[in-house]
Amino acid sequence: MKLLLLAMALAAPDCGQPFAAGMDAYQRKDPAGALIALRAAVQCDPKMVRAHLVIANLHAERGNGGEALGALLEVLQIEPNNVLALRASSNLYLRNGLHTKALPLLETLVVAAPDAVDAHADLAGVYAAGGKREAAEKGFRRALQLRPDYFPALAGLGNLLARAGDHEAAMPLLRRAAQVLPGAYEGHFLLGSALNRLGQFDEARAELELASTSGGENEPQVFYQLARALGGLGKAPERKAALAKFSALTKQEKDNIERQRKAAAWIDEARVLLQAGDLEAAAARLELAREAKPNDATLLFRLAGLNFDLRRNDVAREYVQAAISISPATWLYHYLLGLVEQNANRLTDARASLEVAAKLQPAEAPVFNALGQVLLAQGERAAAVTAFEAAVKLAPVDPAFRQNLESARPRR
Amino acid sequence: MRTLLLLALAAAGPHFVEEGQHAGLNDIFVCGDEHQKSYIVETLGTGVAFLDFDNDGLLDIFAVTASKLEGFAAGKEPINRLYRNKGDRTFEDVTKKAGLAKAGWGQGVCTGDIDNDGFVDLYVTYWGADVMYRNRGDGTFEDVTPPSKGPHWGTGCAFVDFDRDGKLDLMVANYVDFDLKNTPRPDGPQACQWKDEKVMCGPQGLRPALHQLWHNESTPGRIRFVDVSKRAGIEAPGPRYGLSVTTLDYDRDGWPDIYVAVDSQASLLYHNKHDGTFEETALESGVALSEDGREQAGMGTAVADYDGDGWPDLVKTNFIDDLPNLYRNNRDGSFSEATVQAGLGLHSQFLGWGAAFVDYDNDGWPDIFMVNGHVYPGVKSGDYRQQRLLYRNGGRGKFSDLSKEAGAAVMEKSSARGLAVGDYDNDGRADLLISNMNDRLSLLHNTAPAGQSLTLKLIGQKANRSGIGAEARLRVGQRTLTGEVRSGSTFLSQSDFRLQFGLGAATEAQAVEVQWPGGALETIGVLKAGQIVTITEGKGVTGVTRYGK
Repeated sequence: MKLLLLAMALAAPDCGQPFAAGMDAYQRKDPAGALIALRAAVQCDPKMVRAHLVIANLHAERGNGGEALGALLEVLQIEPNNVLALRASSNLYLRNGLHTKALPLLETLVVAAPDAVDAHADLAGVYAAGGKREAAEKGFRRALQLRPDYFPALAGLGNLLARAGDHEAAMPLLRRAAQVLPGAYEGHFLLGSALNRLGQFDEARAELELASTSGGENEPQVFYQLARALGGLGKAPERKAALAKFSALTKQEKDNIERQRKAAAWIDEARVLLQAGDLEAAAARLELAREAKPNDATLLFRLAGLNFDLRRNDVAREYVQAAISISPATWLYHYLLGLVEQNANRLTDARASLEVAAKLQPAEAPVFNALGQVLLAQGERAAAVTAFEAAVKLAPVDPAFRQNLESARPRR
Repeated sequence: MRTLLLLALAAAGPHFVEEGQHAGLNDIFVCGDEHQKSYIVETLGTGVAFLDFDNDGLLDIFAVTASKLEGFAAGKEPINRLYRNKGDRTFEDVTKKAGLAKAGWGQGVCTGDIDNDGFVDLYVTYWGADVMYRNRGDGTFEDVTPPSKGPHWGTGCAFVDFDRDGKLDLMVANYVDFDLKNTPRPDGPQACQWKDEKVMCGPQGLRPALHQLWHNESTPGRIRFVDVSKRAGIEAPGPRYGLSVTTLDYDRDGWPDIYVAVDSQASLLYHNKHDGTFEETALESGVALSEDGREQAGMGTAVADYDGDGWPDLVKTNFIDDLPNLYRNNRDGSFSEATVQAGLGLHSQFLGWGAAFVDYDNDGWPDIFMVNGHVYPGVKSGDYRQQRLLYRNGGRGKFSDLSKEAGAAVMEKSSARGLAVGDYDNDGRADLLISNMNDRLSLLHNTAPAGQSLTLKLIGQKANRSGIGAEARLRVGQRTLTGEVRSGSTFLSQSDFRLQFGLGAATEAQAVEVQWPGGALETIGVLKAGQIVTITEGKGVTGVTRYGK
């Protein structure tokens, strides 16, 4: 929300209209409309940082990490020390385990915002994961200087010291972490693990049971540590049950990874089949992949494209609409939907989609050409000529666009 | 006072000196391209063995080589090598004379006397087809490989008499069901990534393999091994990326169990059920995963009683950005991870391979030696060549990193893989043999100021002739030192069968007893330090050689 207010405050008069429309849509909780308008704003002024930031925010809110990151990287190209973008992009990288990508951003961030407690803690976490223990300790300690009860730094430093065998220094930090955020499983888990290492199994068990009811119920490692504590207490049947839970959760995780891996393999197979011209088989492979990745907009788009080529308009429409619902500001999806509707002779819908595509991507000649064809079919010759002219202007050497324009112009 | 003196001596260095080239070990052992690893098969390196193939009392060396994917011109292929110890700290190449000049994609080696004729035999694993060599006893070997199901990727192996019938059986770990044609390359469209850099793919995403247990059904004059993997329960956990194999009787029930270090999946502990079958118990026993319950990239393993409680403990090396595991035996069939408490949590920047417990300073506490090296040459996020690590056991379960003090030979950077321990100059101090990727072997001669030691060579009679699985227990002052004869272990490598015990300042072991596989307990009286003593099952001491003779 802060991001939003800041962006509004920074609004400049030029290209401000689409930006204002985007912000208005955002406040009306119309993310699709907001994205479309904001994309228009950044096309008008590619260096409009505030628009890129709100686009990133909108994508992040909808779980489109990749697109959010793309918008944030645009900001960093324009303003390499932009604190908001540095913070948000490093967070996105960290969430996906891409520590090496996050590292330079965080190193810039702690210089640009030396009092940013989260930046120091995040950077320390990256150092810790990379085995740079001294740098990690320094970073966590700096974060704790800035905010003594900052949970990630308490937990991070406590864990770092416990893993180095310095339990005397680690235990107070881990205990404090568990107190500061009693509803988070991580603090109880780390404390329980350290207690296990010290052979204090009674207390470890209590902490790990707390972890298992504070958000850690699907975390296999919580149950592994709980089994350790129960083993230490000589409670064989309970230990066995905890290990069984651990195994079941681990299997779930692995099955999920395997599904993703298989999906990737099916997509690769589909690509090969497509190159060989076997559209039916390629579509079947992509269908299998979709079962594993039902919310992958790119995959849905590919399926739509294949079904469009196979002249299955209804199926193609369903897939491309699903893709648009996930990623409403991707011009290509609207373009394809326009083509599908054009093929199905649903001209009003085709026109609406192509107009959105043209708004989102005013530099693509085929979009204007298709729009021209739909307008012509609707009997709007003047508008069609304008659309064909735009297509020819964007791709002057394309004879098809030029021919469409010539045909559409009134005969003298 | 004596303890203080030993401690002071231990701090002086260097403790190891590189003598490979001086010893005549100048051949290059190959495993894929030196600069670019396109496939995982180019990354494991190869193993080494200390063995006394001619029974002259001196440790010889066998070293395995792989090859390159593009191959070599005919006659130029690298071959496995057998080097005979000339007794003056140098070796001569006797490979061709011994009939062991074989090219191929070799990986690991383990030894054992499969026909109980008193001469040690060899098993060499391959990406392709493994080979079993019988030692004819005249300096030559013959191929006695049992028929197998077809090509596979064998890695670690160990001879073990799992049914205690007096004949050595064989456990072989397999890694990946590998097919070059279906594996993406780093320069191709489906390249894999590590820390944002394009690298070779695997093992994750490739098909893991099943492991094999071979039962020895040889009769006089006929070597015969039968694959009993399925019926013995070895295949029950399903395929895994198996690497090193080590044997240990972790519950001290007198029956050998088997541990397999597994890459990127849970490691395996096969508990011997005394009826020719095994039950996999690694998770329940606490040796499958990291302390946090994470799957690790297990590479090398070693076993010893590091804390002096008489029970075997385990150490395992892992991938970079991870710690090794030190699993302390809880004496109830389970282990607790003691890595950090024991002082082994210092380094996560090394990618570990061969690991060995070795009492380099003969103070009676097994120290740990590890060799390291990355799998990806040229990546920015990790050194391909890495130093070795020496952790000194200070007693009471605590280790300290003594690598720097141990000298340049320990700090030398290489992309090392195999590691074997043996006293090749019979001076009473354990030396180290290391295989390095696409490089010469390293032979680290132990020059450490050390305490007294006693070396035992155990020869089975009812038990297998190599004495594999026999445990010696020495009473030294208030302590009881234990050691077990073991095949395989470390990484793709084989250490000397002889058991070397550091006695510290003591000049003798007050009592020695040997528990033979099969259950017989043999009591030997006092044994003086400074000698190699041969003990033959049922006959007591049958030979004594002073060190240096």
